[in-house]
Amino acid sequence: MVRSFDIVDSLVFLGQRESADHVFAALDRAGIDAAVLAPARDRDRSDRAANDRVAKLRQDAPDTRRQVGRVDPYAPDVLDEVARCVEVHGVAGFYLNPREESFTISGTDAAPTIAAIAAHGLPAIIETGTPWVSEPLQVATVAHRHPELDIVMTNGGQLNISGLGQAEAFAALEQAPRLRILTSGVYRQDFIETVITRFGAGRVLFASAAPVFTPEYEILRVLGAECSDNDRAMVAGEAARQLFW
Amino acid sequence: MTYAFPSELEDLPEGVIDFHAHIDEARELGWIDPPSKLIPLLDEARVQRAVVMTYRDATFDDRAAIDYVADAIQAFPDRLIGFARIRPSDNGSAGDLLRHAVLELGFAGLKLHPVTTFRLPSDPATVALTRVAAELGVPVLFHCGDEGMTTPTAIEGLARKVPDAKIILGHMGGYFHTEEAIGVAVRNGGIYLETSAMPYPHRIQQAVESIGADRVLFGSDAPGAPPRLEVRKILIAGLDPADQRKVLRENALTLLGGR
Repeated sequence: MVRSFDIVDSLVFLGQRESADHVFAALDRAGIDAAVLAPARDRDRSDRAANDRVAKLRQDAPDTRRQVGRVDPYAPDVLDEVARCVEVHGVAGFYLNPREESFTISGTDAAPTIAAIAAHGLPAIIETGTPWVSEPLQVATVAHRHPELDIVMTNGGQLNISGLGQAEAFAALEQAPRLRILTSGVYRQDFIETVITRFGAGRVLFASAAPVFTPEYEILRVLGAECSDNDRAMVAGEAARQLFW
Repeated sequence: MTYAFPSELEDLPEGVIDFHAHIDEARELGWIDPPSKLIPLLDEARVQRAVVMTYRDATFDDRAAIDYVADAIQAFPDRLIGFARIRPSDNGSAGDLLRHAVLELGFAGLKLHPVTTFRLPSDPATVALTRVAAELGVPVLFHCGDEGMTTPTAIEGLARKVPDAKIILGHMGGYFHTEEAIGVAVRNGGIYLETSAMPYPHRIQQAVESIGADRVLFGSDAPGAPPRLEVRKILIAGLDPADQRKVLRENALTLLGGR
């Protein structure tokens, strides 16, 4: 393999089900240089504890690891946790998962949390592609409400193995200029390539979503993309550096 | 510096067969994928042959999708194997079309996509069509993902009604139904799992451990998912060489019965 660019994994989950050593070993095997760490949904269901655990792991390699705080809009102390993540852990952004936390991303229940995140000027990674709660056009609705907020949609903004989610993902990207996608688990390679062509490589970030997906495989989506070397370098790491470092 | 995609395909066995690829010109979807687009993708992945089907469904009265594949397998007889993507019918005409495709045009199987046919796999029309496939000795490849009517348990209903059919779960359950797909294959000996597009290499290993290697098939869903990427999923899955050969080639040969 010959490359001269950095690989930054924009979403890696750390939690109680799989050891951090195991996850980091998988990143090493894939040749990943740096990572954005997010808490997985853990058994104790405490975002506070999960954010603390990830913070400790981040401290082991602060130059190559960034942390995003995970918050649940339904938690009674969610706004305190947003503030705490910023002030105590110096998070580089936030992660929201409407599917696991059972809220609609564009709904009123999530609105205060998203407003709080936006007020800190930090990006939000949003688990996208689940019908009814995190459709790409629902995420675009949030983007319209908060034009100052950088939002990153996981999974290319779609989770549909018929390819029928692509049209709405494209529409969302068209409507919201600060909306970006992660490459994690994306169906159809030409979707990634088309987003690069239509919207620019800066709106596509490599992510493995390890350990949900396999970094060694996921990185191949980027390394094998039909695009220029400059675009590849952007997707592989520069776009993440610009957003999270 | 120009980047070079890693080429570690030297260990691939000869004669890899891709069990799920597409040729068609579906302008409404923006998917223009003639055989001339697919063949180079097979070459770069060291895939010898591919099972091909259209994005469109054929009916007895509208055979454009059948004709498209028929032309392709005639043009590339050593590279492409035709599957007929047919819309089930209530009057038996779909079965007649399948017979025509297999017996007269040399097609090797049936493709069913409930998202476009709006038919539950266990509904009478699909059952009848699947019985024809079983009589002809050809397998049935289903789109099997997360959408309604395409999930593994939806297809299991068909497998129970036509137990002598060879039914392949294409994409082996998509994003959220791969574990369910493996379970369906454990319960039903006529179910095969095909690996295209689903993003979990470890599920391939789990499938082999659960049902053995004989009912797992490599597929890519090309050209949207390039074979050179999809075949690496099989390599990353960590199968032993004998099982890898079965997944990449031998199981396909058995199912295709020399076609």
